[in-house]
Amino acid sequence: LELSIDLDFMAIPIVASDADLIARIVARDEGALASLYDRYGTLVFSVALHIVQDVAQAEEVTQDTFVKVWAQGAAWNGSRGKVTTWLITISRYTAIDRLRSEKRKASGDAVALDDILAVLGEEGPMDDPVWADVQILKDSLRDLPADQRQVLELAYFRDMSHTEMSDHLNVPLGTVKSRVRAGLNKLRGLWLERGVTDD
Amino acid sequence: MTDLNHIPFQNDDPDADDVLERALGKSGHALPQDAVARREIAQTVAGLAALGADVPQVKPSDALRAKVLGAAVKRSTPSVVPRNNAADSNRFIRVLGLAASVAAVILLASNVYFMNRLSELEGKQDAMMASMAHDADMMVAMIAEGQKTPLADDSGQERATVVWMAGAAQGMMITQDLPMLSPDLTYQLWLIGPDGVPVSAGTFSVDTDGTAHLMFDAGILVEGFNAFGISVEPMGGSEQPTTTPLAIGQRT
Repeated sequence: LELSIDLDFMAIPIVASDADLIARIVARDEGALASLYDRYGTLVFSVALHIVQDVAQAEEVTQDTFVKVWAQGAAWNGSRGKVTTWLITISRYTAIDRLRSEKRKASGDAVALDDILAVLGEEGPMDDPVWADVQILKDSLRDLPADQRQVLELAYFRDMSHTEMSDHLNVPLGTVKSRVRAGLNKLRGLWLERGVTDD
Repeated sequence: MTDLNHIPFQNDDPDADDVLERALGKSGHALPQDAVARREIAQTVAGLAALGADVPQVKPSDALRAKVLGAAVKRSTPSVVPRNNAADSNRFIRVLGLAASVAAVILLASNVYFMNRLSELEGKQDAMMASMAHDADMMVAMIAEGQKTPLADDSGQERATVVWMAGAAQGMMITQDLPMLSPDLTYQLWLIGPDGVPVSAGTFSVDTDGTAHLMFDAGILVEGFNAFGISVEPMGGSEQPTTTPLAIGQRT
């Protein structure tokens, strides 16, 4: 058999969109999962490591996150949310869930991840293309006052309640709530500033 | 210009204090049914993702990639397309074995629960047998009447054959005498379009005798592709070939 095929095709790069990768994952394309990992594995691992503060556990969280993506990719609503937001939310939830288990902290009344992802897919400012870019996600924090960002980070990464933040920061509970409210309002305002429709 | 410090939440009631905790999944309250409140929480979840995106980026170990992909695929339900029928056969045998075990318990205990369980397993077995029979019919038809393209290595030795029915998007690849790979590697079949762009048709492993067959759905007519290739890729496959193809064939 004479081979006359140009092997240069191997050098042609293919850049699939995030939505394409999720669609292929739903169709059980292992290559798409590998591509998604190559694209966002570091982001997922970094979020997990920031929360659990342990490389081995962060690896397990990363693994669990992509297992959930592989198993539940069909639940992602591509017309609503961005994959980055989705992955960060799953990674953060999985890491916090692991910490709660270790602390023997009651989690039976916690909102299920599936519920959060469902509501995330129903509505959201992520409809706007600007939210596709991780860098723009970061930029949205640039103007957040330090005290407001601090309470949001304690809640987000350390799973602290308002009361726990009050004790940790040694400030009145009302002050913590005010900072949380102001910080969330600020984030919402930044979304509005970027032209996201709020009907 | 929006005053960023004075944008009230639309659902500005005492429950709004719980927005953060609800969005972070630690509230004792269920998520609200009200659309406005749900949107508020969705926006909070999305906005807080910015905190996650802003953490220092730390590259995980290279070994994690294979571990993650292996775990994901291992825990998933095998798909219909692309499908490695060698795996189906093993699962079929396992189900049969389990069914036999359950049947033995029934003989001893005449337990209604196990009767129901057996019935379920038999249903699964029937479905699986029907699926395998369908595949077998397709395979026979394709081999007997279908189009064929051999894939050969550099020395000209045939390593695989791609077969399909004219006018169909589904096809099958059968390998011959391919070596087994280490657990961190997999074979991947590529369909190469007229523009030279390879499209993955799925990954597969071979049995100890070097054989495997892979059913695939090209999405368009198989005739829409000019060539086929097989490469060795990291476990989980690749978005595009990362190694020189070990076998390739031009559609005849």
